[in-house]
Amino acid sequence: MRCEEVRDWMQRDLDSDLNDIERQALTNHLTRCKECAALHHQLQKLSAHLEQLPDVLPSYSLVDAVLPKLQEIDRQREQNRQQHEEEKGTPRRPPGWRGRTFLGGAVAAGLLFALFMANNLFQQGSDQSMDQNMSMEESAGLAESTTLTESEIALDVADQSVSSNDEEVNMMIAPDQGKESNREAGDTAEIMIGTSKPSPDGEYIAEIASAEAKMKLSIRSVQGELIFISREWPGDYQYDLEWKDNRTLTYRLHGKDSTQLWEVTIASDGSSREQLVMKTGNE
Amino acid sequence: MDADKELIRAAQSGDRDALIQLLREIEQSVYKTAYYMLGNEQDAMDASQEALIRIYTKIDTYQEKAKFSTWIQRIVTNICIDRIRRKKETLSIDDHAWMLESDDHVEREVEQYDLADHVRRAIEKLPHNQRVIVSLRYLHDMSYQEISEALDIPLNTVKSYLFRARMKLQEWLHEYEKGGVQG
Repeated sequence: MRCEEVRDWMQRDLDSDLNDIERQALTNHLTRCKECAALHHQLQKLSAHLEQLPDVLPSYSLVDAVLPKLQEIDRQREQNRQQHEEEKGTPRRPPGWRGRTFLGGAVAAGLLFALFMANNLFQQGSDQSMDQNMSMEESAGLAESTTLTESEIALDVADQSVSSNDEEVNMMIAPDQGKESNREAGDTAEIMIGTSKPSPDGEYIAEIASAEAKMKLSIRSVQGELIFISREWPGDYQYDLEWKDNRTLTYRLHGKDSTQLWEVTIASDGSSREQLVMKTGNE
Repeated sequence: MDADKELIRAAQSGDRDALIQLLREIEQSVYKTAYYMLGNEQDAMDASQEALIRIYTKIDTYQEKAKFSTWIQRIVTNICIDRIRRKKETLSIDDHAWMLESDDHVEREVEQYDLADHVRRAIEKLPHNQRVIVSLRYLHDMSYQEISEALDIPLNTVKSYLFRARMKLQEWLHEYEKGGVQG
């Protein structure tokens, strides 16, 4: 046996991967080759250390720590489901205005919030993250072969969803704000959900929500997770949204005597960054 | 040890309590991987929580043909590798540079750690594609086959990375011991 081959066997021996005959051959070699015997000893010692790596425990219950997020996920799923049912019963809306919905004021706040979500958000997306990602190339290494899927991105912003949803729900409930012209028959009060615009690849949806003479923009992943939420602006401002690419949205606000152009960039880790690109006139 | 099949099935069929219980059963195992992959408590806590949330949302995609433990390790290692990549750490350390370092001014610092710490720190210095395999092999006692399934890489790659990692660790350990005698 060549020493090089023996080294492989030594390693397999550490993993109990040798059969009896192989182990015997290894032992025979080691009795004759000092160098290999020394390495074998070293590797065994290392492996023993690795077997005894100290146990580490989280300093608090991780499940308890994520419970609020899990509840939030449940709530969103339920809302998506309700929204889906709601939409099955209403006529198709023209594309680009998928989020435009008006509702009776008596409906529970949870359901109202559901309307804020774009169509089909109940879909959890295919489970790409489980099926791809980890094919390793010897040369390229693991890093190059992993890709962040949108579902993963969505999960990254769970924090934000938790903190902002209550606020949003409150904002959506505006029973006295009844100035929309295309009110649907039978509504006694209305919640206005403004423009909704999907990114070119459909992975994100930018939406303008309006209530109590204020407006704001939010971006969600197609799974329904909140990626970005803007500051509010006065409801009499005009606005337009444009996706520059799949991950960059610009929105322009025109006030009485000012214009602002903002750009929101969604990073590959699902975080978002907003930047004021241009501003003219006074606030 | 794999989680109770009945519990997993209940969790998959929408029993939320079962799912939460399942998460409680695996949280330590998830954390352990994250800790050894990321090398510090805070990152490990964050990554573990992310993993638990993902397991919660993806539980319906788990298929019994795979071991549950393999499936969860796949999730947590994916998250850790992604975080490592995002941090843009120097992932692969030059052996030679490392040895010079430990021979020289870092020696005093090294002495403050016991051997177990040193082994852990040495693991952290491995390129992450080797570190992940060492973690699965030694923290979770996974076989080549299970690691191959968890990471979706060929079995021979598993062996090659593991063997390489052990050779490197063995050299570092040897250096450390020599240093210890001198110190």
